[in-house]
Amino acid sequence: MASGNVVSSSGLDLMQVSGYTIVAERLNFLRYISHYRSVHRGQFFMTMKTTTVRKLLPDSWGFLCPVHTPDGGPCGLLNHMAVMCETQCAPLPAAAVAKLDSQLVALGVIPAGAGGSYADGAEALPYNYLTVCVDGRVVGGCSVSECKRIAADLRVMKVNHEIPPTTEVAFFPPMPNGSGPFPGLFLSTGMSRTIRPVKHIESGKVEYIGPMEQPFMDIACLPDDVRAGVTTHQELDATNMLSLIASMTPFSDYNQSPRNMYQCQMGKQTMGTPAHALPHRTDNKMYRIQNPQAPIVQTQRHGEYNMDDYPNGCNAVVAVLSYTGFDMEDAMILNKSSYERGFGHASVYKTKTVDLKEEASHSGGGKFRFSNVKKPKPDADGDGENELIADTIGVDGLPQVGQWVSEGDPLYTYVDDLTGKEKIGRHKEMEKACVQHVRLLGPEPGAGKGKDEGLERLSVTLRIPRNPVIGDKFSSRHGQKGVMSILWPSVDMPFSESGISPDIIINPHAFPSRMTIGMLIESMAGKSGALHGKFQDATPFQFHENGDKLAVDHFGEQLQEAGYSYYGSEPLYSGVSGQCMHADLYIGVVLYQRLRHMVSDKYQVRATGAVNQLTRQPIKGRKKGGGIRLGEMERDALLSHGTAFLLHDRLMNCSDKHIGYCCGRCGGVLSPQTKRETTLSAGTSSSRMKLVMTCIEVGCRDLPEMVEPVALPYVFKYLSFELAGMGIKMQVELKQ
Amino acid sequence: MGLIPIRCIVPNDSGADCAGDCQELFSSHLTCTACDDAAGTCHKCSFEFRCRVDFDELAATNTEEFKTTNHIVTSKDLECTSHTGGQVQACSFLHEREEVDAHDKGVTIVKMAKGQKLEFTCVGRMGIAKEHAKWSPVAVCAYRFWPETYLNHAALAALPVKDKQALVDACPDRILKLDDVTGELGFVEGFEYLCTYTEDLDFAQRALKKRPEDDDFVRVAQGDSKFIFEVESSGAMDADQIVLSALKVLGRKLGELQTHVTAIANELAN
Repeated sequence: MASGNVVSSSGLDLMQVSGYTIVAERLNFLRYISHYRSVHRGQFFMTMKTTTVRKLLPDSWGFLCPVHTPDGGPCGLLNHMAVMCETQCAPLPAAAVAKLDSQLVALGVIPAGAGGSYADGAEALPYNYLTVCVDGRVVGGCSVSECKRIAADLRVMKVNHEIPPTTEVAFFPPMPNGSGPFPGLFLSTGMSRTIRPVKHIESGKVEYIGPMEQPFMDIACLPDDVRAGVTTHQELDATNMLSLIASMTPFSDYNQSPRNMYQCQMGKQTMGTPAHALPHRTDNKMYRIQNPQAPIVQTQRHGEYNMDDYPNGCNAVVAVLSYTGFDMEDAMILNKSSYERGFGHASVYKTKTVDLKEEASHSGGGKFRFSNVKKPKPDADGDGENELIADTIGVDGLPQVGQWVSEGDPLYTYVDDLTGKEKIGRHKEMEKACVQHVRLLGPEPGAGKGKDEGLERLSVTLRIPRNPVIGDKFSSRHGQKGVMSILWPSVDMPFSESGISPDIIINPHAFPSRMTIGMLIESMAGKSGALHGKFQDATPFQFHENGDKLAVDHFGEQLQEAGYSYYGSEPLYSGVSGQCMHADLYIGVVLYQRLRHMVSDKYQVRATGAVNQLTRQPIKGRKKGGGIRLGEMERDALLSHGTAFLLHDRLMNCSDKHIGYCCGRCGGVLSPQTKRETTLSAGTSSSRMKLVMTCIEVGCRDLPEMVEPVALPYVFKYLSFELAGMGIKMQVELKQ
Repeated sequence: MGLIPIRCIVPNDSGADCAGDCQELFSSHLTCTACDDAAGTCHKCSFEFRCRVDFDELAATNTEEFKTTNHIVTSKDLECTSHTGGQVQACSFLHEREEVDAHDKGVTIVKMAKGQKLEFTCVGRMGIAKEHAKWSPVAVCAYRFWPETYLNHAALAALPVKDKQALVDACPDRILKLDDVTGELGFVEGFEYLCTYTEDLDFAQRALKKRPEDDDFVRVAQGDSKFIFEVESSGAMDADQIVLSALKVLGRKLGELQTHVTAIANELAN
């Protein structure tokens, strides 16, 4: 269950064996909740060339969120259910389902076919009659117009709960020239169907509909869309098509749609509030933001789902201007004082479990027990009795809560009761951590078997502070991510007429091509909300283009009322010269999220280190201290810059430089060998300390040596070995 | 805790008590020469706050209802033990006079419930905001220029009212007004505080001029000798004291610069 793998010998005729369950990660609440609402089409479709399966069909409107899907590989295959979408998890009441047949006949269905409880299978329907099925079982049939009426009547019965309210009534009318799906009236009552509520206009009640009936229904989105005589249903809310996470994006109707998709991804990578019972949780890794805030600009769903209980970001004063050059290419400047007052401060909680029984079995037996007391030496007169194994650890061999540990510091100590050996468990990570909790696992001493076995299992939670450093990733709620490029002193930040200096400066180039107008509106709304001391509603589709008021005017008027510029821009003064800058600058309040991608997890550095045994090239991998591949394109770039020496340095000196020997006569790199000393010459002073290489090639063996040392990449030598193995000789021409 | 503002009561220039520059009471924790131990805490560069709050003790002297709620430990529970006489005190974000009106309860440190007790000692040190923002007494600070103005009465007299109105409307800060009776152009009251020195007025009168080289009708420029300072304090210092001590520090630094410059000049001359 935990792995998501299907264990069966037959394969159960399933298309894949893994991925049937996913772990609900508690990185933050958004990620947690989205894991409960995700739908994957199947691993097989990932490999398919065709894009048909990835397309969003009319059937899925309101069931699957059009925004909340990743881009790239799983796009359109990994979907998320819309907020109001439910699944039929339990079977409908059997009595109500059994009654359906008679109810249908009462409505005017002519019983026929083998499936219906009324029919004997003998009667055939006229050719122009449509079939009426319940769960794929033919009950009878009737004419097209009758079918249409019956479908409408069934809907009324549905909303009045005369038939189960989640029954699906799919009426497929015949299409011209026999196109379209097979016509008929199909009722479904089974489980595993998705259903969603819409308003049944005639009765004004809520009706649950399914994806099969939806394409043939007339559902209006907004009240304006209702066409008399045609429209039968209306959406309860225009935002019902969005998933919960997509509906957290403020003013998402003003953004270019891919940006909303990016936000759905980034919202799930935000360092936020994963849980409240942190002292009692033992998750392997947890990210937590220290000073979260409720967003000033929030959607209605944000309140409905109490998202403020699990806050994710921090309201920041954001100025849009090009300042100092540190905000180029999606970098952002962070106010140093904001940082010092706690902006973006976060920590990572890591829990490590130590099982001494397991450790004993790995090291080949023994009886391990946590302790920090050295075994008294036999000849000691009692002085050394309480000597500690590690000074920083408590006498019980456990770390102290609140203690800081750096790489290599002892974290716990234990002794082997059989051999008397003392051992130290160390903090293996590079980062300094604080011991947050120490939990003793296992039965209480003395309980259970009646003998005190000593403490054998331990769980330690370490807290690693992760305050923002240069290169850490942040984003607004509009798919506008960026890295912090510098902490800029508050005194040198630009300031407004009222003395406000921004927390964050972003570059105006972030907007033209991305068209995240929602972020600009959020900025205005946040600013006016902060000035008036109220939360702003940012639910999408609240301001209509033809409506009486545009979003800009709504918030502009609020800003003007507070004595600010209508469009949210202000004259700013340069923090360096104090001069007023020529253009008015856009400054407002935007919620910023801190993403979990941090430099401390990703930086890679290497001078020398481990190499691959076969090729002698540096290995890859950050953990192993490997190198970063300088690939073909990077090679091309260096060549085109004319920096051939640098290229040589990267590809040769820092990689697998090797001094090999090559015969100048036969050109072999494999044939040169060190000259063996003869019994006569061995140990004589003339031959000592001198390496003489000779070529053992048949043609060179007896001729004077022409072997020269050459610098070559070791893989080249390896290649000639491989070729020699296939009977191909590689010859190298030597030139002076 | 570091962000709780701390007030030092010192006499101001006229001798009255005010929340002023603590440099008069303390020396910087980085340069203090008085402390001998490595920990570096002495009376000259640091002070101590003690806090002791016991919910049950409070509940004993309070109403029944108190027990059912939680108690908030605030900056008001911090008591200075090293410098007595109210010289050093933790404060909230408001000025003393405003505290009473606002029913300010201080900066929240922690909430506690039945059975809980909090006791700690904290050490405060003097530093500057260049090192960490917590030492900044300034919440918001801005300055603007006192405008230097000029009205060309002779040229204005020849201008029709419509054009004068155009000038009034051109300025986004609305610093100009037309006198209803005389029809004369003038500045509104307190326009000095409204000016943002936009170019709109220049553009507008350029269009009104007969020749480009004609004198301006109205000129509003940034003065260079008078400024308007707006300072909002975090509560650690009185706003006026911030400006005064900032000027004092500037004066001292300029003096230092001057002595060094003369010293170097003398050295070069020799």
